[in-house]
Amino acid sequence: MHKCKLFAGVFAMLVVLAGCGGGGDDSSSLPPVPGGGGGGASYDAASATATVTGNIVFEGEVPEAARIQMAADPFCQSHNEGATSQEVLVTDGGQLQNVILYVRSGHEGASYSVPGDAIVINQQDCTYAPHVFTMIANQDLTIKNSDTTLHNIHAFAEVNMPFNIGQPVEGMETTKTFEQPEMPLPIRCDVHRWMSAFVGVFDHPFHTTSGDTGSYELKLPPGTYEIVAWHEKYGEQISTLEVADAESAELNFTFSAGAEGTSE
Amino acid sequence: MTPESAGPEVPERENIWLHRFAVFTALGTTFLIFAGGMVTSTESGLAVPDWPLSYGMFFPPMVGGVFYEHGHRMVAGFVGILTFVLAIWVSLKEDRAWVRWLTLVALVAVITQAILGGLTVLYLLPTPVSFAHAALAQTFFCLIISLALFTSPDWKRGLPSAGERQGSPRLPWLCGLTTATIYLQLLMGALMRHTQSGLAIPDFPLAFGRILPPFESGSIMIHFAHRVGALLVTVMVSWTVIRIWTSYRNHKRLLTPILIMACLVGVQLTLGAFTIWSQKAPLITSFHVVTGAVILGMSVLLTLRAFVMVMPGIEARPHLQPA
Repeated sequence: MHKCKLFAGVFAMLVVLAGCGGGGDDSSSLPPVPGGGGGGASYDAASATATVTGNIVFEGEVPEAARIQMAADPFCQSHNEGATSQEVLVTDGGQLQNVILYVRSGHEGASYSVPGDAIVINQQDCTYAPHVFTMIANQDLTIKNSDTTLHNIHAFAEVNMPFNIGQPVEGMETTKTFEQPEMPLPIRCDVHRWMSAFVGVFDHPFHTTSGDTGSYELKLPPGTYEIVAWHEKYGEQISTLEVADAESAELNFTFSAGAEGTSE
Repeated sequence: MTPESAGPEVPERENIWLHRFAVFTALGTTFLIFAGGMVTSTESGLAVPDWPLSYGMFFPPMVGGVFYEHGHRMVAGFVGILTFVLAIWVSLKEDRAWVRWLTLVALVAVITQAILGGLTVLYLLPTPVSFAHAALAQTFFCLIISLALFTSPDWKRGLPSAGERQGSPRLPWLCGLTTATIYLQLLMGALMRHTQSGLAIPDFPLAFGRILPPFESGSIMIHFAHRVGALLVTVMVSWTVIRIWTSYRNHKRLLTPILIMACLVGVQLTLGAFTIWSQKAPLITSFHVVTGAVILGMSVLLTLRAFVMVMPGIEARPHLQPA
């Protein structure tokens, strides 16, 4: 009888263990903290007058995009038939998409306000949209699930706090922030291993991506800057540029298949 | 009468269904280790971000990595229930106190294992916790194998004495040393898996085209240590085979497990090679994991038998000593 009680106790503990916890869906939505910059006088990024534009040129044979096998999830297979990898996307004009462009140095000495608008990353048809994006530290990141299948969003942060949250239901939204600059910060879905995205988190507003067009535009205050172009497969290139007030400058980057690229 | 013939019946101590249930639990644990191997091999360990529930549910849609991670949880839950039932059964029917205690240890181990599994998910696969989870899995498996042996009618009747033979170390200690080597090798394998060092040396049988790789990183060292461990296990198992073949060949309780182990070591070396050549194909890698566990289980079984059959005064009932 005594033994029965003992095991009943252990069983009860197991039941309690199974019942506690639960969702684990940490939907923390910290308010944006103003002043994301490196200290000093506040600078309004909208008042930047110099414009830097450029193309991300891809040289060489464009690698064939690998077909993604989505059979592990019938929803994904039916909604994204024939999907291919987003790793290397080149426009018909030979320009490389999904390159992050940012100022690495030259912007120091000012602080920058954090935009009130959230950056949105959407899980749609079992891919991330956008695949590559940038944001400012402490800016809200809204993560949406537009699929009728479940996803988890796993941020492989090393400087910031990593997180892994689940969104099992269509229409779910979760807001997260990264408090520190970190570049690049990979995001992955562990349910669907092909789903990956990269975010660049900066302490200033001088960053963008080459998006779908393979070209970019950066608004900068007058000064001398070290500008970096980063691609998930081809790595980064750095170029230094000096711009004057209201000047328009062009800075192209070239990535070559299987080789380091050069800036012009 | 041969040395292996059955001894007198001891019906009051026999419960064949309890033994069968323990064997079934051991088989379930074997499958659980395979399922755990599939989780790591498919990198699905974080496909379910919450614990103990899965996406807040008891049964989420089994898609993508959820199939492996939640499937592993289900098999683990099943083995947990089996262990719980085994513990109750043993406590009610078993009159050997040390067997009852051992079953309780197994029950605590499986609960601890579940908690470690939860922690590794909630803390995003920290290497020490994941490693501890893998190490405890092997330990728990050894406990269940031992319980399956201790509850067997063969063990309860008393194993026949195999007598002392020439050789140093004595057979039980040699078997114990082999078991320890295999266990350490499995720990090294777990460390390799959970530090993502499985392909740190990308070629086999050479290492970067040489006998000795350049020891430039911890990953290469861990990987190479696992290869050296494989060599040590092969040496130890071969040594044990030779000892049993030369001195205890007539005792099938010793000969059968060591021959099975020898065959499995060959299979395991092949699986290890194909794990590298296939770039860690999940099925091959998981079979490599589970074969390692089975070799360890056989070694534990052999060691326990060797102690009882060779060492005098350890629960052996020398009523069947060979002439």
